[in-house]
Amino acid sequence: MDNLNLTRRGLLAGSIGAASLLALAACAPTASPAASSGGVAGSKSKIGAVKGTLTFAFWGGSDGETAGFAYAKKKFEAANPGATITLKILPYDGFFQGIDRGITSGTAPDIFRVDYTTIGKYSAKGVLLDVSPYFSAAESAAFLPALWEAVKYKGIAYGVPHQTDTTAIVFNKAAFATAGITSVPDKLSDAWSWDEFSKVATKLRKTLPDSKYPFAYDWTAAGAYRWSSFLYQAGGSLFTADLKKAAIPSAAATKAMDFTKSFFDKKWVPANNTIKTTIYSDNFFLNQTVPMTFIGDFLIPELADPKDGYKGGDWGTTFMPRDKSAASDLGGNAIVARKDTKNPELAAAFLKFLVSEDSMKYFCEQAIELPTLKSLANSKLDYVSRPDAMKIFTEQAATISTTVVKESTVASFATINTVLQDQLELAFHGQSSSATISAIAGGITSALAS
Amino acid sequence: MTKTEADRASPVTTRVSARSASAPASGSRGVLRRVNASAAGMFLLPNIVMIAVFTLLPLVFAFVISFQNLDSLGEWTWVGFGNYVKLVTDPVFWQSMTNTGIFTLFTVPVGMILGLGIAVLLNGVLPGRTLFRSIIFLPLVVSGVATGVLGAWMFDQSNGFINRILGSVGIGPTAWQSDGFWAMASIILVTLWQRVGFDMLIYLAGLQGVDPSVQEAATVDGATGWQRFRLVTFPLLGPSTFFLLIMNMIYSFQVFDTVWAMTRGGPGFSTTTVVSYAYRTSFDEHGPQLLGYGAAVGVAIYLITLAITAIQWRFSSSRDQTD
Amino acid sequence: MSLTSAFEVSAIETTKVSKVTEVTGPRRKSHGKFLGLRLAAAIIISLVMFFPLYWMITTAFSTRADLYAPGLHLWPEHFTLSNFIDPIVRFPVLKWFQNSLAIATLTTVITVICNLLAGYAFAKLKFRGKNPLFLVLLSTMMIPAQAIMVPQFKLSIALGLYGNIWSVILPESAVIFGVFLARQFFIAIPEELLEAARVDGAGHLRTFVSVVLPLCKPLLAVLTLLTFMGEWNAFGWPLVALSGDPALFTLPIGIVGDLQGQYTSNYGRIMAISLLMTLPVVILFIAFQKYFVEGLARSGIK
Repeated sequence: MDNLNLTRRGLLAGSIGAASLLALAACAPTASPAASSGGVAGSKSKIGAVKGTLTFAFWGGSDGETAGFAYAKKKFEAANPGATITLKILPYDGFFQGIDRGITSGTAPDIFRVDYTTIGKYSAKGVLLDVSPYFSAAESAAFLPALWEAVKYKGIAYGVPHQTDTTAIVFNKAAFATAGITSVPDKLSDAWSWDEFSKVATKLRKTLPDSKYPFAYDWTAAGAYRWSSFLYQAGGSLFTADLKKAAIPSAAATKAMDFTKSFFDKKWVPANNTIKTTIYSDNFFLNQTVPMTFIGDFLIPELADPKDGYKGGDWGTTFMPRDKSAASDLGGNAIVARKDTKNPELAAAFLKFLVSEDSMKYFCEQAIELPTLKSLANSKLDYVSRPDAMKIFTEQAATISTTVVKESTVASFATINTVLQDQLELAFHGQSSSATISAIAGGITSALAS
Repeated sequence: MTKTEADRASPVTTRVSARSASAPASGSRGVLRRVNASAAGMFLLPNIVMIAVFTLLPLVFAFVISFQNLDSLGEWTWVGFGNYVKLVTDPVFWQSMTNTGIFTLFTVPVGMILGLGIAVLLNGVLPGRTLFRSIIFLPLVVSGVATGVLGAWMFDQSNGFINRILGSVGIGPTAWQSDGFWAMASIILVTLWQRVGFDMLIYLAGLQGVDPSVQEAATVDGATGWQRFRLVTFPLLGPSTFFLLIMNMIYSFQVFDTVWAMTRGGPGFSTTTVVSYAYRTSFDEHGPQLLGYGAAVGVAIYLITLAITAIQWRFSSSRDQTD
Repeated sequence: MSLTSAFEVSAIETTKVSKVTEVTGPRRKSHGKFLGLRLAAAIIISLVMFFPLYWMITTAFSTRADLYAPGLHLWPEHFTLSNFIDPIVRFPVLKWFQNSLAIATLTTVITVICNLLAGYAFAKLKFRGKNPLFLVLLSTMMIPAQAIMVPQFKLSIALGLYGNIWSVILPESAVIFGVFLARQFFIAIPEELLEAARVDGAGHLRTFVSVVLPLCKPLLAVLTLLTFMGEWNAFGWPLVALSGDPALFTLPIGIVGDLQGQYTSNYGRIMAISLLMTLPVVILFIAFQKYFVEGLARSGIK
């Protein structure tokens, strides 16, 4: 199949930050799981030196990511002589199809990387290794609680949360100055309200020529679910709290839908910044069609690249707009092991090693992504480029609520995302808000039922 | 034509006499048929075995799967005709059929006519002929993926070269991505650009066998260039035309790469072809992956293509053109 | 395609057919009259067809900043070779090239041989159920590849083809396309030629090899070219079959997988490597041009 790939950035967004730490720790369930089918929590948490070989598959994302994984492999093999980790770097296009084929034919890698929105598909089918026996209560509490939740299915953890990403705004400083936009929030509490954001967009629209637009959003292709950030900001949600029924239509849904549709009516976004397009929000920024854009932190290396990065001048970062609350999307990846891996101890040991402080710190600093350990989220990481931008993303990540996590990790996420793709595309080309919302609700209901 | 060739017996009479001379006796015809069958077996075996194993068998599996709900991890249940019912009751499926029909209508005949015209043009003596042929063939060589990316890049409505050129002569920016009509037009144009070389190539090979002496005979008889082409050359290209008609139709019914690379089936569903329709629900690894449903769509395409081909087979007298 | 008239001439002639070198008066004049017009048409058509390729070339030699600069640029402002050099330095492009070459060559050899044999059988041998069988085989092209990929994969594994290049080569050689093409071509060969050979005592295989094959150089050229090209550019099935083993990746997998994963909007790099990828096939095409020269069919007859 010669399909052009959807890059992983279609799926990565969201993260947890320092500020949310306390809040989330209070309202999210603590990390001691109920009795799991795999064994008592922490019963096997003391894994000594391990031997054997295993394969670890991930997609070729950025140099930083590859460097981060290579570092972990080196250190692990040094600490465990007799253990060999084979890294398999595969194209992103078709990666999960390859995993699926491998699982059904017995040729899958022992360990693979998977984004939070997709892990549910595997956990629900029971093909992943239950890792809860290998983590003591203290060890699992070391993670940001919402992210430990993100790898759970029916209360059991089936992988380790490795890193997260989220969406925030980057902007061209000169264009803002020209448009007379003088104050840009640098604290989460100062983030623009929807009204303030609209004013910013209007100012930009006045000073830009017809061929350019104020901003672009990252809801393209599999990123359609990032539209929901507006829904959450308006105080709504896609599902009811028990995740069994649709929570839309609702006033919040209508508000969010009207607001986002108006981006096109008011020519705030390029006409082809819809869902079914080949141009992503970072492309629009890089080719200077827009002076402001919503992107995930994992695209910062691309923008900051001295040779091929953004050539429009100085750029800064600020927060997502907020309405009733602040919200951004859950992105990032976990690492999981196959249930039928030949050497579960070795697999678990490597998983734990990947999310140990030293490995995670190095990885995140190289890849410009956000950590999942509380200790790292609280400290300052030495990001290899644009640490100033990562400061904003880290704070933004605090707005990933447990609702966002729960709704983004349902097993039928893929079906719901496809409904969102189709309906939002129609909405942005003129379908009414009410028709769109009912269609989405219908799609959600049938997806949750199956 | 040299005088000596013109002196030879005309092809028609020669053929007739050759045929009557070679008609075998009925007894030996039976022997010939037996020998034919076993020889046929030997000639056919390698190809048929491979096709049977690697394509026919999976085809049969696909039929079976179309009656199931099958997910990418192998879990399945029987649903009888459920997938087919879902298919025919989905308005988006019918829209994708319409889109595919429009696409086929504008790419197949146009491409073949252009290919034939270019082949005739570049068949005769012409300085730089190889260069011209290479340029027209080159788009076919560029991989489907790269062509799609190139198409998306050229027709980019904000930054693409096409709009920049149109802009330099005063034509306002065309919405190649956000307008349904123009999106379809852009896909058709890129497909024509890519496929004309294939039609040219096949017709060129076919034209090698058209003896100029036959055309000369027609000229001597008073035929004009156009009449010569219409009454002599084109009929002799019957087998090539039949081949191209079938192959191009199969390609157009299954078009996916270019569409996906340029418009992802948008805006809305205006460039969603049948295979990109199936891709959304079944083959996209980030979608629901209803493999049974995808198989049903595949089977639907298969049956329609087969029906049209069978009709063309029956009614095409020129597919086995021998004179 | 018809070689009828050509073959009829040869059926009578037993001596070598001399190339047509003399032309009559009126014919020479008509050639000259239209030559200018035909040349002009050829140039215009080629320019239109070349234009996107030209754009591909300029993109390949442009820096990213140049690509997004406003205004109309017909050539790169800042000429650069980095789009070619960088990927070759960072990625195992040579390995991908070797894999592609091996797979494409082997597939072409196997496919051409099988297709020629089968095409001849369908064209010239009489046996029961010929047409229905042909239609059934032809129909294997009519289902979208994606719909049968999973069964094909399972089958390859069951046959022990996982993990080496034969998992790509054998399924890709199972094609009816070339059989169809060969059939159309062979149909035009007059029966008399074959009868003549059979009367001389040749069996079917000898007839095929010594009489038929020498006559079908254009077919061989087209079939080899298209098969090689199809396999060289193949992405779908190789990705499925080889995804377990990056060391076996072919150029298309490498380009899409690594180049696009890394440089998703870096058109310059994608165009550069894609252009490089076309070179072997273009060379093949130019080399085969002599089989598309008018009159070869006749002059090739001994």
